[in-house]
This record gives sequence, C-alpha cells and structure tokens, in this order.
Amino acid sequence: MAVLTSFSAEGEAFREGMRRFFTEHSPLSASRIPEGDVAGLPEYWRDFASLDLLSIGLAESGAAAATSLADVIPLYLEMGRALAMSPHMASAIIATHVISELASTDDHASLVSDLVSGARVVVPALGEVECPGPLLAYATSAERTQHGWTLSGEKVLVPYAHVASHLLVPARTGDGLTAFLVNTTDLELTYMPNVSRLPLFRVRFDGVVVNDSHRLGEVATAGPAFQKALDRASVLRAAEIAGAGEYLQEICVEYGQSRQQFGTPIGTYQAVQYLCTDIAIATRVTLLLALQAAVRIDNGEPYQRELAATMKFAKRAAGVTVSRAQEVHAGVGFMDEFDLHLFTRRSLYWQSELGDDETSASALIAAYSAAGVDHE
Amino acid sequence: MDMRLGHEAWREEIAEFLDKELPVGSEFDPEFCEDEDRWSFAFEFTKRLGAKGWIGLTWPEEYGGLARSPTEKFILLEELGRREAPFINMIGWGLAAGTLLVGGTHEQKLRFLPPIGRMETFWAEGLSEPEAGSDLASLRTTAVRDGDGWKINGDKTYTTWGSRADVLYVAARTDPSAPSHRGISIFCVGTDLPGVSISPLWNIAGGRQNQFHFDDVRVAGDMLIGETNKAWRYLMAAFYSSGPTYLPHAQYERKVTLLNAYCQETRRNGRFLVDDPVVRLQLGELGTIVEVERVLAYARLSAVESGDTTSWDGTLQAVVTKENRLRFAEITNEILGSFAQLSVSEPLAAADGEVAEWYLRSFGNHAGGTSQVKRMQLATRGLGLPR
Repeated sequence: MAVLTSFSAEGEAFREGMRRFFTEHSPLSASRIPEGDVAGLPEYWRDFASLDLLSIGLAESGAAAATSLADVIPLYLEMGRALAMSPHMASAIIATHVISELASTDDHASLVSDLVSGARVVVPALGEVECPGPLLAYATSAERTQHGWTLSGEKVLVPYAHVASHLLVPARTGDGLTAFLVNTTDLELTYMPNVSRLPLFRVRFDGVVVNDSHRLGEVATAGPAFQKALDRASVLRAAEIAGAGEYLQEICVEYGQSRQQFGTPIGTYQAVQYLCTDIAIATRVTLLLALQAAVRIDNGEPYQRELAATMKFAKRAAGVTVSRAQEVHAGVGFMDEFDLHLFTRRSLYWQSELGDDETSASALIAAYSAAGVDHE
Repeated sequence: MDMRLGHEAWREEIAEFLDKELPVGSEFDPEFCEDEDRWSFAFEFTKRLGAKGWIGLTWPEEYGGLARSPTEKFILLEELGRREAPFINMIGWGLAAGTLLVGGTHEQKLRFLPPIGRMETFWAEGLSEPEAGSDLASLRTTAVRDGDGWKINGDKTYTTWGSRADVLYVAARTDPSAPSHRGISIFCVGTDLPGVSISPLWNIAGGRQNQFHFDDVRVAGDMLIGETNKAWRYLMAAFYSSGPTYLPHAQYERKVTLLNAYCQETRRNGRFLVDDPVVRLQLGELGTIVEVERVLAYARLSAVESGDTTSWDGTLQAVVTKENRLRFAEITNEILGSFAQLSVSEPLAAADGEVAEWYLRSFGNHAGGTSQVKRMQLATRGLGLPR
C-alpha cells in the first residue's frame, strides 16, 4: 500500500510557486466582496492556462494519462490558504473532466481546447432544491423531442454560471443520467446571496431546448464520468480545507504568542493550546486523508472507503478550524477588518460541497460490509 | 429550587402588551442590527415599555421603578425574548442601573435612573480596551483628579451601540499603585463632551461596534459612581444582583420553533427533513440546549432572589451559554446542509436568511470574557484547582 505523507521536492517547489502566485495575484483582500457585488472571473485565469493549470482535469485519453491527483493537491492547499475565488474546481476539475471523457464530436473537442486555453469556462449545474449537495440529478429531467431534448427542472448553487459559456447539466433520462451542454445565453441566472459572497446561481430549465449535438456521450451513461470527476473534486476540496487550516494554525500560534492577558501570552494557557492543537490536528489529518485517497485514485485502486472518510473528516475540519480560530482571536476575530471571518464564511460553502454525513456513512458501511475489508 | 415561576396574570399582561405593541414583522434582534427604521421602532417600543414602568421594574419606586421582584423581571425578559421584542438600552437599565443601585449616591440614582427608565438616555459600556479584553482589570484608561472633577485619558474598544449612546459607562484607573482590580472607578461620561472621539469598528455580523478615545475629557465630580476604587466590587455586585439582561433559552425557543417548522416543510432526498433520523437527533440536541439554558437561568434567578452572590452558577452559566452559542449554530448548519450558507433575501434561505446571521453572530460570544477564561475561573475559584 502506497502511503504518501509528504510531497516530493518537485511538489514542494510547485507549492511554493503557487503560494507566490496567489500572494501576487490573489491576496486575501481579493475575497472581500462587498455585499450585493458578484465576483467575476479572476484576472489571473489566463495565467492559469499558461501554467497548464486548466488542463489538469482532463480525463485519461489514448494520448495522455490523467494528471496525478496527488500532484494537484499542492495547488489546492495554496488555493485554500489564499481563499482564491475562481471557477477552477467547477470548470477545470469537474467540467473539463466530464466533457473530455464524454466528448464525441469535433465541437466537443474544440470546447475542451477552449477550456484548457482559458478562452471559455464551463461549470457543472449539480445542486437541486431537494438534493442540494453534490449529488447527481434528482429531479431535473430531459425528454427527447423532434429537435433534440427538452430540459425541465431547476438547479441551485451553480458556481460562476455568469461567466460560463455553457452549463454542464446532468439530467435524468429514463433510468440513467445524460450530460448536456446548455448555452448560458438561453438561461436566466439568478444570483443566490450567500455568506461567502461567492457567485452562486439558481437556474431554471422550464422547457429549455437543447440540440442533440450538445448531448455528451451516450444517453443515460453519464453517471460514472460525473462521479469520477466529483470524487477527484472532493479530494481537492479537502486539500483546500487543509490549506486554509494551515493558515489559521499559523495566525493562531502567532496570536497566542503575541497577545497578552493577565500578564502572560495567552498561548501559555492550556485552553488556548487546546484550541490551537485542535486546528493542527484537523488540518494535518485532513491533508493525510486527502493524500491517501488521491494515491488510491491515481493507482486505480478501490478508494470509496478512503474517499468517504476524507469527505466526512474534511467537512468537520472545515468547521472546527474556523470556530477554534475565532475563539482564539475572540474580539479581534469578530471584527470585519480582520481577515479571519473570510475563512469563517467560506467554511460553510466548503462544508456544503462535501455531501451529507449520511452519504459518507453509507459509503463507509458499504465498504466494511463488502467482502475484502482489507482490499490491499 | 422550584422552577414554577407563577405570576400567570403578569405573564398574560405582558402578552397583551406585546400583541398590541409588537406587530407581526416588527420583531428583530437588535444586537448587531444597523437598520435605522428598525432602530427607530426599537426606541419607540422600549419607550412604551418605559411608560409602563417596566424598564425599571425592580427598582425602588423613588427612582422611577415599580419595586417588583426579580422573578417578575425574569418573566418579562422571557416573554420579550420569545417574541424577539427589541428591548434596547440594556447597558443603561442593566449594567449602569445595577451599578448605581449598588454603589451610587442617592442623588446619582435620582439623576440617572428615571431618564433610563423612561428611555430618555441611551447608554453604552466603555470597558474593554485594546490590551484589556478578558483581563479587564489590566485596563489603562486613567482618571485623574482635576479640581472638583476628573480628567479622563485613554481608549476603549468594542463598544457596542456606542455611536447611539448619550452616556458611556466608563471604567478608569484612579489608583495606579493599587493591585489591578482595586484601583478602578466607574464614571458616567457624556459622549458629547470635549475630547471624546469615536470611530467605527464593523463586526462580521454587520453590526457597528466602536473605538472611543478620551483626550483630557473632563467630567464633573458627581459623575463618579459611588466611591473611588470600588468599581470591581460594584461590577460584580451589579452582575449578580441585577440579573441577566436577556435569556438565551427564550431566544433559542423561538429559533428551535422556526427550525422545526422548516424541517416539517422542507424535503430533501425524497423525505421531509423532520423524518430524517439524523435531523431528528439534531433537533433533539437543539431542544436539549433550550432546557439546559432554562435551568441555568432559573438557578441564577434563584440565587438573585435569595441574595446569593457566589460565582459558581453565574460562571458556570457563562461557560455553557458561550459555548452553546457556537454549538447551536453548528448543529443548525448541519441540519440545513448546503442551504445554511444562504443569506437574507434568498428565497431558499431558512427563516428568511436569519440562520446565516445566527452563524456569524455566534462568534460574538466573548463579551465579559471568553469561555476559556470563564472555564479557568470555574476551575480555580469554583473547583479550587490550583492557579
């Protein structure tokens, strides 16, 4: 069993490079979006392309292997630290993967090229009102018509829909899921005000007509491609949470060393030490879990148990790290001018992206119920 | 301790008042609200409470009060909390009035209490400083004798409602040579006095707190409450004798009712949330928080009624209430899942977007000291563990 607990020299160099990149292009202040404003595509999006960061979600093809998930984790650690606001997860990781895996026409291939070059953005429309987590279509459906397909339903919490040329929409067709590319100019996008001030949208598909050429892959076969993309995304989301946790750990230690009350640094108090170590434990374990899941995915090994544990733990870590950091910082942490609340806000979004505990529990129970608990 | 409060006729009288004076839709939590229309309503509502004598419900009649019991005040706060009535000026009728009643001269009580009781003066606290938060006794603002008055210099921070206040309740050091908490006095400082300047500090819940700077602010001699260097004793006595200024269990009752209704109406993954066994456990935990807060509030009431000023129940309650604030928001977010992040004006947000506000507000749980400091006090003074 391959165990990865740290990065190679190249991985560390990549991480350092990305930290410099985000310090220059996306400092924490960039995530301070005034209430009522909607964040757009970041200016560094084309820089992402030139650094080959928009191709890392490409599915394995005859010509090229998929990018190692473990090699992408350093990027997401730094995105978490920087609270970077971009459609990278949605477009480069999820949509690019699904489209490249299911592409069957020249137009689809051309779209993939545009996604990799940064010329276009496509985001997945996954959440639904009765099924708001990152699960696949529950109620949105597609019916074949003479001219193509008619979609019906509503998607919620769609990230960056306003900068996307298309939405990647899984819809129920009969007993399976089919993937469609829907031109956003045909859609009404409604911004959903949220605590993180992220650009999340509601989209209704009341009789939206889609040409059959915008169907990706065979009918009712898109499920596995979406699931694979979402599994990879969940690992990276956990890495993002760990990256944020590392930053929170640093500022808490610094505050514990510098803030004095009752004549001594507050870090000398066991209560504060417990808070800081809670963050440290949550962060380190989240990263280790993410690395474990990534390695298994990269090696083509069974990974559902490891992924489920990663999602469950990372979701809890997202909440623990910010709540402990708020407690360490007390009054100053409650002030808007202090950056901590930017992480506190984003934490709710991250938790929402990791599914519900019941799903993770079901996956873990299934893994332990199946033959071969030890599936080495 | 008998937890049956009685006074049912009083409770009905309050309900009738609220039915008349608190129209549906006018309820709100004023803690970090900056909506001016709502504040105007809150002022008027509190004035009407004052017109009935209910602001100074427990004060002696000679100071504008009705000399009613702490239990009746408790019932008033319970009913106001359940209905989310915007009863403001709690520093005035709570901390300041409590200190005046404990340590103020007769003239000071006559001067300050009736206007507070009629909602004619609005108060804010000038206690915390940049270097003195949980360790309030290390405060550095000074008050030095200046003829028959005092000259105050220093800085106060995190002053909630300071921009709306007429008077600040200021703790200042009057004897630098005394041990930290023994050399502090309390002053009433008009916010319009020369030398008082204010700057805003916006908090993450959207509320305005404030930074005050005192530059040779001269206050009259009779603005010192009671005797010099007695502030700590007055503060502790006021805290334990005047009782709470709000009741968490009453507020949580309202929230759990809202969440319960949401779970009864909202479907997820093919069933109503209330039918999800995990959600049922979580709602149960929230309901338990309500009862925990209730019994702690009753215990403190019992102590107030009997004149018991030992700090055990008060400190224990402080720890639990501060930590429950975080836990309640955390469990609520777990129930709501992806929709917990949705703000006011988003139709899918629970309780009209209030829930997202509960989350951010939950981190404002450090007033009077963090729960970690309170645990240390509980451990050392309460349990006798070594310091």
